Amino acid sequence: MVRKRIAYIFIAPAVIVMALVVFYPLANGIFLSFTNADKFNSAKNIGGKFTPATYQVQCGIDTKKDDFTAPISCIRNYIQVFNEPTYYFGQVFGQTLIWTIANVIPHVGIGLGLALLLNRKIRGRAIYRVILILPWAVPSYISAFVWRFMYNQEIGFFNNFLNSLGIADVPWLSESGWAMFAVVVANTWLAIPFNMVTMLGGLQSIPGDLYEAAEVDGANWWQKFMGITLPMLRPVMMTVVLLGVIWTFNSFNVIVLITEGNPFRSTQILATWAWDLGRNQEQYGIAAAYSVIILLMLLFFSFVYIRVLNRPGQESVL
Amino acid sequence: MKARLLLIALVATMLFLVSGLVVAQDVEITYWDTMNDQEREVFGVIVEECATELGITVNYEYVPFDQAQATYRTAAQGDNAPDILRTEVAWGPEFAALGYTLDLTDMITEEERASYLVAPFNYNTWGGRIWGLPQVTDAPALVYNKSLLEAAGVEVPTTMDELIAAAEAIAALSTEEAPVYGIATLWAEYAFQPFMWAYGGSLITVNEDGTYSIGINSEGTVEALGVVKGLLDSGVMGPGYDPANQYGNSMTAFKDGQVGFFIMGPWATADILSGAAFAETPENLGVAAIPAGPAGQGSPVGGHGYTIYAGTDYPEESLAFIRCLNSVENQVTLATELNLVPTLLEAYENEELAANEILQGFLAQMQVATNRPVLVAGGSIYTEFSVQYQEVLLNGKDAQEAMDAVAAAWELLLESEPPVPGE
Repeated sequence: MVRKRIAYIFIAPAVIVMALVVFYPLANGIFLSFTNADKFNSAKNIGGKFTPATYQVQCGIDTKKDDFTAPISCIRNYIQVFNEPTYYFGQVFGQTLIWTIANVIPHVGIGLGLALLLNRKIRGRAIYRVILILPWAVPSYISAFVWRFMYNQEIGFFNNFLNSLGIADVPWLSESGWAMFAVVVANTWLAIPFNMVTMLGGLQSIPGDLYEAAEVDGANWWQKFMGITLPMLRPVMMTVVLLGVIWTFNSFNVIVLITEGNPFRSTQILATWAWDLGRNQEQYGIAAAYSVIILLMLLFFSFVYIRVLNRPGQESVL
Repeated sequence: MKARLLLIALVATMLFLVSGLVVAQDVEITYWDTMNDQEREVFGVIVEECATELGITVNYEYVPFDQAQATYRTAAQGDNAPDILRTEVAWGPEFAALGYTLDLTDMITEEERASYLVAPFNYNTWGGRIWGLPQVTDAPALVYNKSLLEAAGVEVPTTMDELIAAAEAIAALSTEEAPVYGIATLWAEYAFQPFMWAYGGSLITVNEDGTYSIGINSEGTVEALGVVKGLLDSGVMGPGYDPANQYGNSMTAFKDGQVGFFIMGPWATADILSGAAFAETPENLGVAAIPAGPAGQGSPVGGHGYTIYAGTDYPEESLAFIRCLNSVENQVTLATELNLVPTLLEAYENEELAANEILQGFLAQMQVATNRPVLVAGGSIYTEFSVQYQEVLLNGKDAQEAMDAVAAAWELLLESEPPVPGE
């Protein structure tokens, strides 16, 4: 009993902090998504004079926009997100899928490739590792601004370089396809160190005697890779993929700092678009509904993914 | 002996604490400035002089112009706003409607009000109340590189057709190694407005019965978009449209002498004059009004005012500080050193300003400029306009369809337009 109490005391600080910075904002966000909150009816504190919020849950509230009645009107924000063309759900969701898939595949692929290269006994291995981990050490907003500068159509590094080879300017940030490509490349550059280090750790935990046994059997490099490395690395790789999908789906700073969702909204993803609706257009209720939808999507994905991963007979770190 | 030392130490400590309290009671004002680097070099001196003159402490802080509106909203909501903000004209009504800015009506005398030019002052009123004092006014004008005009053998244009023909002649000077553009613009959708008005388009008109007419999807706007797209696609307008870097790239190209005409406001002249094409020969820079088109003429009147936060501890001191910053003498300094257009009538009596050709060019533009709608939604209209403008120019979207989308978004904005108090 006493031991239990001590355990509770030890976890109390963490629980309190989690409650304050995670659970309360989450609950508040879910609540806001059912309200008509915007800049006019939100709480204000001006010079110590506190004006409480006057927004309300939309059950049965009349608006000019539609003729929903309770209980449908309670989830008006959610219906509007999907139905109102000015909230661009379909377009932005499609872009989010492209963004996520286009990012995670090279993150994992290049990360694995570099990890394999670094897992050999080569001269100066420590130096290579330091260099390859550098993108991670630079604050991501600084990297993002450097990339943005390099992508500049007129005076950026890439176009100057292409021009010197006699190739015409590429509209890096002003053509929708190129702009998406540009932010994916920048984000991949930022994400590779994590993937590489994690998979390097996984590679190093594979017992060396497996390879020795394979060599005695006369296996070549490819057979060893397919027969030992990949299966042994599977648990780590699956975790990396899951984290990669969640982080990329929700990633924010690279897009906001490099393209701001431009040109013409073609690089907006759900996370940046929800932020834009909240901060720049001040439709807090709609932005909150967007955020809850993002949360539900990720929960669903994680649930299915982990179920598939933890099938009997499969080993996993999750 | 020991006791005495202890006593001295005690007294010294108390004195120190008391003096600390006294210092803490000094007036301390925070001022958020959105001026660019060159402007702040001159303005920072004025801020310091006024702080010294009034014996107050001023925290002079810089917030980039393109982020100031959203940053202030968040700060004002949570009692973290600066005492004074340099407020762009379009932001004023929104901040006033949300209760963020202080109503100055009872603090401003009729005489003080009459000392300002009418149009810029009206941008600081909303619902019949006064919410700020105008610092500068501006409208993008036709800034040009005289030697390029000479090289192409063209005159300063007096009609839109002449402007386009002249721009084409200048762009023809282009060579493989050194591109030359006929015309460049500051950030795109804002500088598109002179074209829009020239061909008969409009933004939002407030009718006499209080309803709104949206003119952005009219034939005139669509025609103007076609003209601008033609210029851009043929390379006459340049450098290439890169929304993320548009302002900086246009400035660099014009400063380097690669651009004939530049649709740009007075705030940039100090920066322009530091460029390679103008540093040695400032007289190479000319300024004129943007010419009339077949269906009208115009340029968006912008500008900035000083507003005071409604939650400030020092309303009187803040206003005194603003009045000092905005003295005739200081406005003349900003005009002579930076070519910023004054808002005080008396500043125009200064002889040096009358002889300043650049400033006179911008004043000529002010005569044929167009006021933007003074609405709470006024600060948000460029959001959708910008997206659709990009899509027309970069993605070949049908101009009519795009402008219809802008009009639909503006209708939504106007739906949540709060009623003007007192009406």
